[in-house]
Amino acid sequence: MKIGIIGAGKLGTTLARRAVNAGHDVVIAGRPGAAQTALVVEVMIPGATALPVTDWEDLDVAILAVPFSIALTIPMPLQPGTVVIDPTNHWAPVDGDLSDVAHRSTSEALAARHPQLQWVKSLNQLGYHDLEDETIGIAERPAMGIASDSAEAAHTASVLIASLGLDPVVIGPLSTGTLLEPGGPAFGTTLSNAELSTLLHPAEQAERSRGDVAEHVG
Amino acid sequence: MELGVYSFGDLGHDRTSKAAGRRLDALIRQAQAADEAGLDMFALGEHHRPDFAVSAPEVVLAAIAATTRRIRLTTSVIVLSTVDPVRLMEQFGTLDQISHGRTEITVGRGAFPESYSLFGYDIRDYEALFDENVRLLIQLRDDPAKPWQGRFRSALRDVHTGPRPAQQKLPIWIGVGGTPQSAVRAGMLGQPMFLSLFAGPRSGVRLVELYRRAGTQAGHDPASLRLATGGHMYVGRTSQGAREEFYPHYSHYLSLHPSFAGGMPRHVYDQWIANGLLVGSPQQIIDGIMTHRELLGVDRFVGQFDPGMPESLADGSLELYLTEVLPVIKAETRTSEPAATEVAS
Repeated sequence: MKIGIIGAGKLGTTLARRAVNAGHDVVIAGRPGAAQTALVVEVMIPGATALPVTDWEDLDVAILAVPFSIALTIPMPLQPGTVVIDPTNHWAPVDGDLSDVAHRSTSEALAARHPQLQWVKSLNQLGYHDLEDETIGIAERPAMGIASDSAEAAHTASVLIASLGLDPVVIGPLSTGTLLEPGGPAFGTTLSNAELSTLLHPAEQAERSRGDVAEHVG
Repeated sequence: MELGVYSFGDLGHDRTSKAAGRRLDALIRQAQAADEAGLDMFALGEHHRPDFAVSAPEVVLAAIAATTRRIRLTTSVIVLSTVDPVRLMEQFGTLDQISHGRTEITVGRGAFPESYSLFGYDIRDYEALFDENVRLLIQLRDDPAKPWQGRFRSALRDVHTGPRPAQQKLPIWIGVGGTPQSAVRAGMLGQPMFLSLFAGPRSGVRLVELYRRAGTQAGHDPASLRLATGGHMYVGRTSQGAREEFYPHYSHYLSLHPSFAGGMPRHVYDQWIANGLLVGSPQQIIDGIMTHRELLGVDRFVGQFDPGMPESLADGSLELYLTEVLPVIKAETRTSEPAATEVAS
């Protein structure tokens, strides 16, 4: 697949390295104007290409690996219909209490701003330390929840996520992304596919869990 | 190779009104013990939360400076995005005079957000603030009379800052927590880098290469690109005993972080130890620190000796570190050069 990663920080470089190792064609864009992105990519992610987002072509999936408060404000000059995975988490003490995410997923907030893209909530449940672990995909395949309003986008994300050594679990529409975010039952836990599926039962639990998240974040 | 310890004056479970005073007394006593044992570094980092006693490391370090003779003193870290570099240079110039040239500064972006609202900064500027402040701090050390104009503070022209440090060049270390761009900046600035490694030394290999490549590309002498690593540490008498003694305290300590809000799962703890978290017998800690040296070519290791621990446990761990780890590391590294050139080539 051709993967585009926005953000060359801790998470972006970690995901890019996993994607290169899985045999994908990876382009990555750092902060605009940052002269060092080429050096970061050369040293941290051999095999990936540093390229501004405006020069990306024929992507299968984009990953928005920047802090949520930045994700809300950066332009997204991608082809309409591009599948975008949102791995951000909203941390109220850092990002502030944003009305964008009162009672809803970060991905719903991003989808409202960029409705021409196909949004997927995923890759946010585990930290970059966990994703850096080279035994992932060999000794165990941690489950990774996927929420999207588009079945096609969820499928594309599943294929990518499986190739990264994780076990994809499609849980429901974008609104169920709150189950995967801080305060939700699946956040920060390394689970098997069966454990995650049992934990979520998205249809029944979505509403209740949305209340929990609102309390936690609010 | 240099060895040290650092602390934030962690109060653990003790939130009584006298807890902070007791903890500060203990820190001064522990620094004296470290000094007498021949440890190289004692470092304190600032936090602004009810669970830590150190918000003003320069004040505590001044007390330590007056009661120690040889140990070098530094920070771990100063949150430079929310500190005026002029004030900082005056404080550490003073501390360097009181300590007779034993002072360093380690600056970073910090792990917690509190200092931004406390001191009137916008957390969204944290990167730009750090970048401006670190350049000003280095200029104040190297060329204090040079005029300055920046975005976040008033311009400087014909000003005096003092007292000047006792050392000709007060070391300024750049604290990096894993962000690649921070390692690049440390290298481009040509300053030594202090790298926090909580996931074991392997995760630092590429960052260290990035630091050295950025530094040499910018024309800095490779000898000036010194490297220290740090991380959480607990030394117990036995391997299994150390794991069991430390686990409940560490799990509680890490519950400060949103990812471990409910405590750290045991299997994650065991995995971290397998990856290189320094928890174990003295021999295991020695092996762990030597792995930092072999993989990364470090010149210095500084361990957080008290995360989440009651005072008695921290004292026990520190004693083993000073009596059983320090002499062995010193003996093993006295003649050998670090493997730095291997990594950089």
